[in-house]
Amino acid sequence: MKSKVKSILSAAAALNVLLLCTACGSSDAGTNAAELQKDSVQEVQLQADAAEDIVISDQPITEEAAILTKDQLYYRCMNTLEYLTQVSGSVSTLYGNTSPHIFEGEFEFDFVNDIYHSVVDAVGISDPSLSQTNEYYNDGQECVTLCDYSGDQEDVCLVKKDGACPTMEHVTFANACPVSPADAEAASADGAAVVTSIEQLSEAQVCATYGADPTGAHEIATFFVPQEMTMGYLSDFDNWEITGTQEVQGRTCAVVQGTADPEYGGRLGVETFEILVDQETGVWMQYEGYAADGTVQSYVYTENIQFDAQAQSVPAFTASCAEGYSMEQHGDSAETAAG
Amino acid sequence: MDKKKSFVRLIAACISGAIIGSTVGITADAITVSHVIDNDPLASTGNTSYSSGFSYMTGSNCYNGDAQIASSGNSSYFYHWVHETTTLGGPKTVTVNLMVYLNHSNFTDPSAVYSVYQNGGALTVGTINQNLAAGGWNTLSSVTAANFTQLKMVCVDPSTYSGYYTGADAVDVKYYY
Repeated sequence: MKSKVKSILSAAAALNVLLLCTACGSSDAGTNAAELQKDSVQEVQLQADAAEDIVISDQPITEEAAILTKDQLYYRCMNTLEYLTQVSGSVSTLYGNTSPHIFEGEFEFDFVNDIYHSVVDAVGISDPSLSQTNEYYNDGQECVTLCDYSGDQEDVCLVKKDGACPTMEHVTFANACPVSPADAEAASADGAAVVTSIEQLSEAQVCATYGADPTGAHEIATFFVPQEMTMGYLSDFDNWEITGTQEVQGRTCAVVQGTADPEYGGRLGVETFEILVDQETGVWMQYEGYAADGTVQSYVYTENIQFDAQAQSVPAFTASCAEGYSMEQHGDSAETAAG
Repeated sequence: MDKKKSFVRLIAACISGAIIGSTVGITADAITVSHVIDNDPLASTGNTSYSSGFSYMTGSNCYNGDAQIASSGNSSYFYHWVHETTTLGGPKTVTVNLMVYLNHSNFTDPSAVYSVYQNGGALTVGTINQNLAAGGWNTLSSVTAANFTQLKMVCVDPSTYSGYYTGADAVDVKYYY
């Protein structure tokens, strides 16, 4: 029996949703959507015919959700920024059993308009004096971090401008997600080369958005940009399996279960793990890393996650937000380099 | 059964001393300036780093067996890898490919920010959670931006969170313009 340090989410919900599209890439999405829709129509027609002879069950028609391949899931987890539009919600994350903090964040991110806001509480686990709250605004031209320290350290407002502001504008996306082998023939109908495995991609393609996180809230990025842990846990495909799908907050998630590489998992006190990966975007809706005795040593828990048009709007920074903070300009240290 | 798939993470051979490997390649379409910089030996042996708050450390898994490390949480701390300056003769659009070598358990900064010099300021290239990053070379997203006048250095800024350590070992930077 696994014991939880903290739980926001409830246990797995029953599968009851028809998935319209799980493949990667617009052309592949269209192909898979058409196939699934065709199957759905056939299913309904059979039911209608049967109604004349038998009583149709009042249970909802269920269909197993299509599951990503490992290659597709790995690419998506590495490149969530390729799929995210807007997202908001709350997340709580603990890296591992020696981490000084639990990071708890509330955020509103708009990756289309390149504007971001978050409030992250870093809660000191064994040393409350390490607790602090960071509030972050980034509109692509100016990014502001308001640091509220719990100890004697002065609260500061760190400002970066222009090129020092991380932005999606500078990033080049690879758009190279592998297709499912089942779709390879259809995808190659026009003679184009088809990629079904990440082994066919260069490391630059797989890492096309690695580190490009523009949100300023990288301490909670294991939810929305889980790149480091994806490489750490999932780069060896022999160590994990996709065991099914599970609905989490309205999202169909692949259930990934695996064993951590001892060198990587040892850093976090983790031997085995379970990750619930949103199939559409690659974000980790939930993650737990377990010690040998089954206790949770590392986690990501999410709450009230909203995507796309349902996401909360991003608040803008105003000068009044920085009242009471000591101002510091950053991004200019390069001017004073030796040589 | 799935085939075993794993990325081979490039671990360069150990070479003694401060290393800066530089190349310039020219094709009809682009110029490539490339630098591999590991400049963290003891100050007494001479180096081309420029830093605040960082101190020397050794480690068998570090690039060339050593690195620099700083406590995070101090906004005045930074580390620069300075390479030979390339003057571009006017503002140009440059694509930057950056790889960062991280391979020590003491490197725990949850939000280390990497940038390159751009026209008197900095261009942010990427952010890495050093605590969670895989050991070895980390290949960051390629970024393209205008208004470069010189190519001269790579920088890392520690996060604002106390209780962690920011590592600075080797970097491999390529500029295309």
